[in-house]
Amino acid sequence: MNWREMQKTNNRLDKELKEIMPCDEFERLGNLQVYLRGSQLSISDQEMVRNDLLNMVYEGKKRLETLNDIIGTDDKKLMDDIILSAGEKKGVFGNKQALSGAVGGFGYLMLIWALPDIVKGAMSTSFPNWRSDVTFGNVLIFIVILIGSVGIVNTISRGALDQGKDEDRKQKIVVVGSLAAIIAAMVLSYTVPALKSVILQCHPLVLGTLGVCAVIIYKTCGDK
Amino acid sequence: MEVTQMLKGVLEGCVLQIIASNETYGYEILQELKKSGFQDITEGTIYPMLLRLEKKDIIAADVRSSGIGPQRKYYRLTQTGKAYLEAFRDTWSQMKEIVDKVLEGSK
Repeated sequence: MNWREMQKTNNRLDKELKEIMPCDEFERLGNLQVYLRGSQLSISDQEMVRNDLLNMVYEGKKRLETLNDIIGTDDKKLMDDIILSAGEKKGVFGNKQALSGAVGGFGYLMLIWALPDIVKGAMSTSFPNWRSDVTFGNVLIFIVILIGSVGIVNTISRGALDQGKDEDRKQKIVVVGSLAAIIAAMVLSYTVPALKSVILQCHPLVLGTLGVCAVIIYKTCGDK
Repeated sequence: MEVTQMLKGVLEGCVLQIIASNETYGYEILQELKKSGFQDITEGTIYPMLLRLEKKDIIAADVRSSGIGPQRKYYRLTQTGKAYLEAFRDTWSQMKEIVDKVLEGSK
């Protein structure tokens, strides 16, 4: 079974568990999975671990056990042990994994960016004359969105098993800070004249193709 | 009995012995361990161990139907695992002898 099929099985299993578990236990199980997402494990390893975990809980629930009976009480230690055992790659390899997430984000942003220009071009002019203007402001917004979204996802997933006010405050600061930075970048790019200057003109399909390539690389990396 | 760092290593050898006796799955391994006296452990204690042993190719897993819903992983020892278990037995015998000697000497 490849990771995509396993992901579908896991999502189905997750839904079934929601029906048979108390809300607080299901929320706890969700946090374990969020924490797993924040690890440097490949997507295929994450889905494999998720599958083992969900099957373990499902069988335990069929035996009428509580989540504590099945997995114990120290969630963070359990997940850290699992992630270490599954072979989390630190350093260069870990960064490669983080990089693949950034490449995925880059791809989707490129597609979102190119689409309006493609539609506009298709409605107003002939194919060779379609045009996308890339300004300093566009680049600024692009970078801020990319860094902000990666920061938000990492902070939420890594703090999923840390309870308490400090963690809540940290998460709020990162989320609000990132959103504020994105809004500020947007306002600046439309108000500061220097940021409005065009640095590159290209066919929107070039941007779209770049986006598609980045998404393909990101999806392919998940199998490794 | 609390599972301390020292016990983890011992537990690994015991888990391998249980798997060597019979192809088995997580919950059944847990029951065998509890029957032998390891009371304060859960599937959450042994799953990371099984995962590590599988990644090191010491055990291999086959996925089969459990009969009560989702599929279940059945573990068996690989050739590497058999050698690993033998090495564990030797190390444990030596260690036990040494520790017994020290404990006897201190009485």
